[in-house]
Amino acid sequence: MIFSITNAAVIFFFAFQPHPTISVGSPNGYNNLKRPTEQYSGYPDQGYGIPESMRLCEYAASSKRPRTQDTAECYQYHLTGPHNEQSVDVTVKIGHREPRGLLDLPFELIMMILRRVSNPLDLWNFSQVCAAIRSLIDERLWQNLYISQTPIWSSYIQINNLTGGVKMWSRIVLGDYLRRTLRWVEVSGNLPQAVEGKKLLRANLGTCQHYRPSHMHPDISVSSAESQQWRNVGPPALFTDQNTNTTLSAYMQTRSCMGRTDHQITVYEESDYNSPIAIIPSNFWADKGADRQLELEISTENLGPARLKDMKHFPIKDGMMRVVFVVAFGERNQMPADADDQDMYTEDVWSLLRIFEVYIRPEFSPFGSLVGSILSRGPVETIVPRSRHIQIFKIYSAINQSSGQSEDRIALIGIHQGSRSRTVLMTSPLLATSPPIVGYTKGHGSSVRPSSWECHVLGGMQALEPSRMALFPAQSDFEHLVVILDRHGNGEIWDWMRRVRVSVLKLCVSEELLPHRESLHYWGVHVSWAIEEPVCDESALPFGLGLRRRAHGDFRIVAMSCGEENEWECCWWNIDEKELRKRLNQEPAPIAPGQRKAHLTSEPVLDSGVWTNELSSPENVPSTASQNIVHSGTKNVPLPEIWVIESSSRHFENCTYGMFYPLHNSSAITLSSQQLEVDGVSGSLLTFDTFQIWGHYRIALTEEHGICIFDMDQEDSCDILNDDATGAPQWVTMIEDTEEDPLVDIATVGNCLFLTRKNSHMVWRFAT
Amino acid sequence: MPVTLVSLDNENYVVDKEVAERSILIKNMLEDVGETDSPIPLPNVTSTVLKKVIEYCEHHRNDPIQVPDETDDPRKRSNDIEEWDMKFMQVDQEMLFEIILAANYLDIKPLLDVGCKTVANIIKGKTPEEIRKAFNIVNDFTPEEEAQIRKENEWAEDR
Repeated sequence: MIFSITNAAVIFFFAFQPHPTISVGSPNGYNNLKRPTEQYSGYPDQGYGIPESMRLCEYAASSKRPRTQDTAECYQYHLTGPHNEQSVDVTVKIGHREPRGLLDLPFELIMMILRRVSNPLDLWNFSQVCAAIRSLIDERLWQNLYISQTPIWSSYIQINNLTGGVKMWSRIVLGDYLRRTLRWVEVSGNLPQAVEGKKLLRANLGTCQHYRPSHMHPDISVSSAESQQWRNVGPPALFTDQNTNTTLSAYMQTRSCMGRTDHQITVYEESDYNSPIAIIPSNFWADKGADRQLELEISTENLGPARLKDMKHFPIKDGMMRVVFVVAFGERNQMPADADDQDMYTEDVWSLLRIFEVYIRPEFSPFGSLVGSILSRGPVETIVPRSRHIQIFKIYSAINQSSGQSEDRIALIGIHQGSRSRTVLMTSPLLATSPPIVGYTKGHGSSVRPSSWECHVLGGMQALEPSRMALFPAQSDFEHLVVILDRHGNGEIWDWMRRVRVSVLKLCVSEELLPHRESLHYWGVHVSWAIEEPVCDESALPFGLGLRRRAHGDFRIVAMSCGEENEWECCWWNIDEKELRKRLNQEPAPIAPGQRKAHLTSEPVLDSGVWTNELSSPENVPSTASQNIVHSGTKNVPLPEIWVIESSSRHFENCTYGMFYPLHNSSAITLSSQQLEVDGVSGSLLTFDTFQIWGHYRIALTEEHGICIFDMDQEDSCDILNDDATGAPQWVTMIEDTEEDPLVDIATVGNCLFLTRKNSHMVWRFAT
Repeated sequence: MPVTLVSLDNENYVVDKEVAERSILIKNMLEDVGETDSPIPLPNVTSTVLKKVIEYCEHHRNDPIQVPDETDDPRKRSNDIEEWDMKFMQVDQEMLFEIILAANYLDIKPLLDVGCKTVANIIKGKTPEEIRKAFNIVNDFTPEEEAQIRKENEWAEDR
């Protein structure tokens, strides 16, 4: 190959054009192959083995390939630099030769080869061979590879614009591949009895960060009473302030000392999970007198197990950061008060809530390191809900209809267990000043007094009976949407801020599955991004959680169920973001002239319920009586046809290390007799305490053995899977020191899995 | 009915019509011109390559015609190659690329597919340097691109 570029230079090279005379034309013939038409960009010699200009000339020449049988032909090109600062006349002379190497093939054929590369690591390596190949490996190629790697889970995935383009897709695909293949090793030696005889795989936790804050491991020389360790209870609450892009996480901690139980909240910045920026003692929310709402005799003794349910921090003003916390106190187990037994309680049943704010002023040493914080207390509000099965606690901002100003509010969404279960929504301005209730005693909360709280029932008399619910992901534009699921796997999406039903989630199962489903009980639901986009922002912290706001992305709602013995099922609904936005902004159906028009984008006018500090029974509060009706003034305005989304589902049998037993996890659901019998098989399986969904993985927590990860996308020809059909669908972490430091809870946060342990915490980054 | 195919170097090959019609290009042409005894010139294919292509078509003469979109759907894609095809493709790289080009020109999708899979399988498990060696490719990255690649690899190694 000989080449040179000067003004009016002559370039002679052998472009691939084996035999220009074509007797038989074809859309796929040599002479019809299309090559990318690119403009000259850059200077002739940029240090490439083959100058950029040469390749671009070749591209251009190929699109004008002659159909004569001349042995060589000249073409004139006028090429201009990116800023018109240099233009050259180039003569390209094309000769003929046979293809000698891969790069001599037309680009379409190289692309076809690239599409046949099925291993992400191979494509990754191939992209690092030369500039031409690298330029061909684009976003779509990686996306296609993602679809071929996760054929079931990606079955309805649309072209999805990720922020980082090709870089993002390559990381998603390669990251997932490495998770699936390289992160586990076979476990030998002593296996848990429940999984004896099974091929057990251990996840590689090499990239897991383990934090052991010093305040949780006190000096042993201190007296025994004082050395009682603080231990974590429940997963952390996290919040990212979009204005300052700062993320705080907070853990509720407890300790038993001299027969008393005490609590504190430990607050960390995202950059350092070893040294808390503040430790907030319980007297900030449990002291008599701090509460503006309720003069109730409350001390740490008569509070049940506490859980931190939500938090929000605000930008620092005058050196102080305002942080609001929501703490829920559960029903104490009546078992003897032991340090560990006290944690036994019924989840999601909350007898008292406290909302309170704290002002934190971080103090730094002259060298800039954090040495402590000065804390100031703010108001405290106490809520004693009558509907105690609250599942969602959410601090949010909304426009106040009367003032037009943004205000911070709190929403509680739960289940009222009456003659039939109903979804109740309770909202109020955050820490609103209400007249104090004097002389309140438990059991005498029937006195109705003005309150800032409003209560509504979502859905009319025919509404589904909820068993579980979940919000759309934090940092999305859809945090005001909640998914409500019943025990049969039917669901609904509600816009809880406007109290409008957005969609019906229909469970669709194949004929093959029908006989297997009688005993199934749906007990869990989770909403996540359809594609978990890893943090790829160069400016992001090296250990960023991936909590930044995402402008676009589809969602996936995953519901989990269990059946008899070791069968379980997951079903999922794919939510197209564009369609979701369209539905939320949709105008209602045309209405008669003179009738008041109600925009779905504005708050529908509902009869406001009177609310008291002791939240009243939902039987007495208004509901959206007909689910497709928005009350607009005195007229009912019909909404557009309801959006029905159908599910995909997979049924699994005999292929799990363990099972969830909803009986242990929630009393908010009614269990069938078959479900009760499930307990009988627990001896042969691990007991999963809780679960999370991340991507196509079911991540389950076992107190003793760590986490079990199940790949729900394992490929198989049928919808019913058993362990004979697949190779390595699941693996366990087998954390070694769980006897001393057991796992308490798990939570997926952005790209990370937070493992809360009794005396430490771990952050496992799925993707960075 | 036999069909005569003429290669670039004027070699004549007489094959059964059903064999020739594995090529969609020839099939369409025969449908357009109707029954004819005239030889079909294939000036883009040398005799060596045409012989190989005919060998493939003879072996697969009874295979069902591939649905056009089948290989384009990433969910249905597989890199498995039948044993006979694998042996058939045990040729030097120059011939391999010639077969791919001929399959593309003659519009024989299964052969093109097998050719592309064979090249993809050569890449399998190789480092970038090994791939360069295998295909005689020059590393033409700029220092900036090299630095970017190093950074990407650091990310992958941390996984």
